Amino acid sequence: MKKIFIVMMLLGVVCARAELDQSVLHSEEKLIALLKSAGTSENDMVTACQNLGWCGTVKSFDTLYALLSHDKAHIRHAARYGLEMIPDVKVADLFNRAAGELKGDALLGVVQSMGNRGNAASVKILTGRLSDADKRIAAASAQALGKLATDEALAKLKDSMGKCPSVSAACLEAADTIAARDPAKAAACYAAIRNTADNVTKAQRLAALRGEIVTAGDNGLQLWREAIQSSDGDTVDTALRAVLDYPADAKATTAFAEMLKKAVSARIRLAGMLGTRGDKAAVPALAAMAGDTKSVDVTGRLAAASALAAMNDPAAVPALIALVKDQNQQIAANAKNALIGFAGVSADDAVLRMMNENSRQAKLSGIELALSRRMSERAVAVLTGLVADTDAAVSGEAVKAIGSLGTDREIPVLLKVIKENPANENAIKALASLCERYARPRGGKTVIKSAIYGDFENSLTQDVTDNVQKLVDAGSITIQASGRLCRWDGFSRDPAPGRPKVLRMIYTFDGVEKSVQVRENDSVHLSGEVILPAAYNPVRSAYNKAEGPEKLALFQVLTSLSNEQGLEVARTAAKQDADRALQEAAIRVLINWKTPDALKDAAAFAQNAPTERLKILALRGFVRQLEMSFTIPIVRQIEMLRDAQAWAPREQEKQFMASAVANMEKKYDESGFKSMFNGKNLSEWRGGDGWWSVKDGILQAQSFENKPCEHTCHLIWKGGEPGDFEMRCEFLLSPDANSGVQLRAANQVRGDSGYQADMNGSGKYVGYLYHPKQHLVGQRGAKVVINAKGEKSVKQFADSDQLQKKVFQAGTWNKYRIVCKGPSIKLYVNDILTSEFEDHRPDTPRKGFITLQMHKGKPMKIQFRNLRIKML
Amino acid sequence: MKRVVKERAGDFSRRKFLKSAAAVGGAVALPTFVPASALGRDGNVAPSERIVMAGIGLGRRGSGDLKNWVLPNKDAQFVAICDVWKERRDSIKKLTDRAYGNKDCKTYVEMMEVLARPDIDAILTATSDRLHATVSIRAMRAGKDVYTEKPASMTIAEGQAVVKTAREYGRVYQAGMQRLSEANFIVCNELLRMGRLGEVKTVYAHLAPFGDVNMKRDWLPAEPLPKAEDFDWDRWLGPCPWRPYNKHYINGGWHHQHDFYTSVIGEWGSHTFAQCHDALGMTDTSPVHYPYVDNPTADGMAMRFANGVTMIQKQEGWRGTCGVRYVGSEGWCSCADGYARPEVSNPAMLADYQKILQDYITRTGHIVGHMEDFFRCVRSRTHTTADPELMHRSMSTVHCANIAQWLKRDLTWDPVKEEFVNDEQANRFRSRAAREGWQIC
Repeated sequence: MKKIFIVMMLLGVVCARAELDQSVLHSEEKLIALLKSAGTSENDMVTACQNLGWCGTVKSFDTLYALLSHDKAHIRHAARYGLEMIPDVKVADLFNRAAGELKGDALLGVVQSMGNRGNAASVKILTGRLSDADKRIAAASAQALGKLATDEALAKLKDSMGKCPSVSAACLEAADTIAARDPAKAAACYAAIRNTADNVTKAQRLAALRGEIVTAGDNGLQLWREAIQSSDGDTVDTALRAVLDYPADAKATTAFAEMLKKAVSARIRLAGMLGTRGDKAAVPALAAMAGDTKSVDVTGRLAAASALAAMNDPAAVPALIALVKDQNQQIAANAKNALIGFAGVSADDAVLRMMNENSRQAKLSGIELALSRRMSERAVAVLTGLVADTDAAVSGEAVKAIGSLGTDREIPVLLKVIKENPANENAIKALASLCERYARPRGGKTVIKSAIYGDFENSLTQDVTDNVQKLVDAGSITIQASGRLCRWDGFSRDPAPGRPKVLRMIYTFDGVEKSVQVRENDSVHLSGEVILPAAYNPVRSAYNKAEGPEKLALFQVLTSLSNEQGLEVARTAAKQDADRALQEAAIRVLINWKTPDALKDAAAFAQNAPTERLKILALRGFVRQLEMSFTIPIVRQIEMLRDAQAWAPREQEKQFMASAVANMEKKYDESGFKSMFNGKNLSEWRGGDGWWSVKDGILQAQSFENKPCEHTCHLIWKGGEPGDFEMRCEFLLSPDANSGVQLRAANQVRGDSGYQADMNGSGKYVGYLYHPKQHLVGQRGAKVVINAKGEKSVKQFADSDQLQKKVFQAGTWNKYRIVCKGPSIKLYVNDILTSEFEDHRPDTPRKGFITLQMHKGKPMKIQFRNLRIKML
Repeated sequence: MKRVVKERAGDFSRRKFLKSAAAVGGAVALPTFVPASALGRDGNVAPSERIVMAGIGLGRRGSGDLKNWVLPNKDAQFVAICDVWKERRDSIKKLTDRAYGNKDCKTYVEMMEVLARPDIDAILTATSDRLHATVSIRAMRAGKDVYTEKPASMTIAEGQAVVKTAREYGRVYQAGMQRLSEANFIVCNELLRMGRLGEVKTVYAHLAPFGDVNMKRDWLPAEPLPKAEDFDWDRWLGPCPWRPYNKHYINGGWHHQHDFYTSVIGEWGSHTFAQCHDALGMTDTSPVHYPYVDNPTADGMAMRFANGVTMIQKQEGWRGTCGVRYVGSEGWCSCADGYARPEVSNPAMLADYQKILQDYITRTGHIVGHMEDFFRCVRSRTHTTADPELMHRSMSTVHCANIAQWLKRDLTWDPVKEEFVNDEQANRFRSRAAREGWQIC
C-alpha cells in the first residue's frame, strides 16, 4: 500500500520536457527528421531511437547507424535498442560493419547486439575478437558466439577453451542450444569443458557434467552412476538434477532406479527425483524400497512411497494399495494419502476392489479412500451394499460416506436406516450433510440499503454501503466484515483501530428487507439458502409421515441448516402438542435460532412454553436475539426488555433481566455521541503549539527537561463552537502534569479563556471548574450559583478531599464527563458528580470552542482518549 | 523429460506457518511427510551445514522477506548484502547482525563480488522489476540457487534466458509468487484441480486498481549525482536505458516508467496470472489470444488459452489484494489476501479444508510457506512451486497483454514457437537491448 502512496505523490512531479507529439512518435519519417535536426534534446533523441525500434524499417538504418558511434553512451545504446527491434535481416550487416569501424565501449555494445541479431559473417568477426586486448570485448564476443550457437561458433569457442571463464560459459550456452538438434555434438562440447584445466569455474564444470550426462547416451548414464556415488556433495546434487532432465527412456530410468540400492546417501532424494521424473519403469524399484518391511530406514520407505504417489502413473497403484495394508502406520497413512490424490480410473478400481474384500480393515480403508477421493456413482453403489454389513464399524462408516458422496438417489437408503434405528447419529448427520450439499443460495436481487462498519459504541464508524454494493454487483454473496471494505484514508482502512468492530447491514433480498450484524472477520451470507426440492421433498414427506423418535430424527435433519425451510418446520412442530418430545425440540431450536428471525417466537415461548425450564431458556434466547436486532431503536429495545422482565419466573432470571436492561441503558447512554478524535491523526484538531501528537490511538502531549513547555497553550477542536453539549473523555496524567478541558472558550492557542474542567497529575484540581479570572470557582463537592447580578452562593454537598479520594486515582486512566446546558455546567469524574455550577450573568458566553490545555511547567505527559461529544 | 503437471503450494510468516501446520497435524494423526532433515546430503543425518545466503538489492519488500522468512529460519544463514545504496546496505547489515547477535554480515556494492564467494549457496534478490532476471541469471551462472521477488522478467527474452540458465546450471529457482504457497490459495487451486468446481471455462485474475498500461518515459530534471559509494546510479540502472539521476526514481518513482516497470498488468498480474496458470495446469504455456481492451488498465481483457479456457483480468470483485476467482460448471471459488477462508458457491466445499491442504502437502511434497519450500528444494534439488517455467509462462502472459494494449489491437501468440502470429511489429517487443557491459542474456 505504501507503494501506491508513493506513486500518488510522484504523479505530481513535473516532466523535464514537453511530451513529444503523438503524430511524431509513430511516424518513421518525422522521427528520422527529429534525429537529424541539430537542436534535438538528448531525451528526445533517445525516445526517437526507441520509437524507431517500434515502427522503423530499413529506411531508419542510416540514421541509427550514424548514432552507433555517438560520443554519448546512452545515445549509442538507444540506437542499438532501436536497431535490434527492427526485424529486417540486414540489421546483422549493419552491426558487422560497425564492428569493423568502432573501438572501446562503442564496440562493446555492438558486439553485444551481434549476439542478438548476428549472422554467419558475425561469427567470423566475433571469433577474431575472442583474443581482443580489451578483456570486456573478448568476453562479450564469446558470449555473443554462445548465443548465436551455430556449429561454426561452437567450433571456434571450443578452440579458445580455457582462455577465460566467459568462453566456458558461452560453450555451455551454445551446447545447450545445439543439444536439441545434435546431442552428440553437444556432448563432445560438454566433455571438452570438463577436460579443460584452466578458466572453468566449479559451477561451469558441474553444468558441463549435467549436460554430458543428459546428452551422451550410455556414456552419460555411466557418468551418472559415478556422479551419484561421488563423495562430492555438489556432484551428487548435479546427478540428482540430471534425473529430471534426462530424456524419456525406460532403460535410463531403470538404471537410475537401480542406484536406490547402491547410492545409499542419496537414495531418499533420488527416490523423490524418480517420482518427479514420473517414468513407470521406476515403479518396481521404488515399490521394493517402500515395501521393504525389514528395513529400519522408515524415512527411506516413506520417500519411496511419496515418489510412487508423485509419479501419478497407474502402474504405481498396486504398490500403493499394498502399502495401505503395511504394518507400519506411517507408511500405511502415507500410501493412503497418496492414493487420495492419485488421478485416474485405475486407482478408483483398486479402491472399489478393496471395499469388496472380506477383511474388515480393507473395507474400512477402502471406504476412507473412496470418501477422500470423492468417488461418486460406482463407489456409492458399493457403499449402499455395505450399509447392511454385519460389522457395525463398516456399516457406520458406509453411512457416513454416503452422506458425503451420495446424491438424492441415496436419500431413501438413509431414510430407511433412520427408520430402523432413529438413534443412529451417523445416519442423521449423513442425511443432514447430504441435504446441505443440495443447499443453494436462492437466486434473487440483493440491494444494499445501508452497510456501516466500525465501533458503534464509540461512534467510530464508516459508511461502506457503496463498496459492499460493488462487491454484490460483482457476484459476491458473502461479505466479510473487515477494514478492507473501508476507504483508504491515507493511513489505514480501520475506522476504529484497536477496538472491537461490527458490520451492520440492512438490505433487501427480492424486495424483502433483512438486517444483519456480524463481528469483525465474520461473514454475512447475503442470500437465503434453500435445499433444492430433489433433496428436500423426500425428506419432508418422510417427516410428515413419521412418528415418534423417527420424526424427531428427521426434524434434526430439516432444521440443521437454520434456513427459511427449517424455520417453517420448527414453527409448525412447536405449535402441535401431540408429540411432546418433538414440540420441545422445536421450541429449543427456535429459541436458539442463529438470526433474529425467531425473536417473536422466543418472546412467545418465554411466556407460554409448557415448562418453566423452557420459559427460562426462551427468555435468554429472546435477549440474545434482541441484541442482534439493531434495526429496532434502542429506546424500543429497552421497552421490550422492561416488558420482558415480567416474564422472569425466578429471582435468578430477574437479576439476569435487570442486568440486560442496565446494559442496554448503558448502550443508550452512549448513543448519539460522536467521536472528536479519530485515533490516527490530528485532523480534527488544530493549534497546540506543536506539542500534540498521536500514538497508539492516544492523543498526547509531552515536554522534557531540555524541552520544557514555557507557555500555557491549547489544542483546539475543529468541530465548531458548541453551547449545550455533553462531552466525555478519558485522561491519564504524569505526576507533574497540569491540563484541563476548556469549555465555551475563545479561539486562541496561547493563554486561557472560558471555563475549564480542571485536572492535574496529583488529582488536587481534578473535578474543579476553573476560570482564568475567577480561579477555582466551581468548587469540588459544591453547587455554586452566580446570579444575574454576579452574586455567588455556595452549597457544599460533599467534602472536597474525601470526594477526590473517592473519584480519582492517580497514575491510571480516569473519565471526565462534562455537561453544559444553558447557564449550568456539571462535572463528573468517573461518573460521580464533583461540581455543579450555574452562571446566570448575561455577559457570560454560552457557547465557544472546546480545547485541551497544556499548562506551562515541569516536564509532563498528558494523554487523552475516547473523546466524544453529544449536542444537547 | 516430460514435465510433470505439478501441484504447488504460498506466503506466510514462520509463526503463521507453524500455526497452520499444527492445525493440519490435528486433522491427520500421523506425519506422512519426508522431513527436510532427511533431504540433506548425508541421507538420514540432519545436515549440520546451513544454507548460506546473501541478498542483492533488498529494500522494503526484500527486508521483509529477510526479516520474516530468512533470519528466523534455522535452515539458513544470511551472511552478506550487496546493494548500490549505502543506506540500505547498512540497514540490512544492522538487521542481520542484530538478529544473529554478531557483526558478521558483509556488505558489497558489486554483485559479481558477492557471487564470486564460494561459500554462498543461495541468493535472495528483491531489486525492483528491472534487475530481477539479470541478478537471477548471473547468480545461477555462478552456481547459486535463487529466490527472486516478482515480477521476475522485464521481457519475454529475459524469461526464456532464466529458464535456460536454470536448466543449464541445474539450479533451484523460486520466483516470489508467494500466494502459491499460502493455504487459502492452495485450497482454491486444489478445488479446481480436484474437479470440485466441475468443468472450469473461466478464471478471473485480479488487476491492481491503479496505474496505466501505457507508461511514462520521463527524463526527470537532473540532480547532482551522489557519490558512488553512497548511491551508485550506473549500477542501479543496470541494463536499462540511462537518464540523468533524479532521486524520485529510486524512491519508488521507477513505477510506471516504461524502462523500469512491467505496467499495471505486471504489478499484480505477475501474482494472479501465475496462480491461475498453476491452477489450470498451464505451467508450460500461455494464452493464445489477447483481445485489446479500450481502457487505460486493460481491465476486463479476456485472454484465451488454446483449450478454450478464458482468463479475465479484472480490477473489481474482491475485497483484498491479488485475488483469483475460478468459475466452473458446478460451482465457483474465490480468494484474495485477508480472506479468513476462500469464498465458495457452496460452503460444503470447504468442509474438509484441512484435509485438502494435508493431501496437497503429502502428494506434492510442497509445503505451506514459499521461502520454506525454496529451502526444502535447495536440499532436495527438485522443482519449486514457482519454478522458472511457471514464472516465464505467466510473465509471458503479462508481456503479451501489455504489447496488445500498446499496439491497440488483438494479438495471437504461439506459445510453442514463442512468437506472435502474423504480427512482425508485436514480435519486436520480445526483447530489449542492454546497455554496454550489461548483456547477460
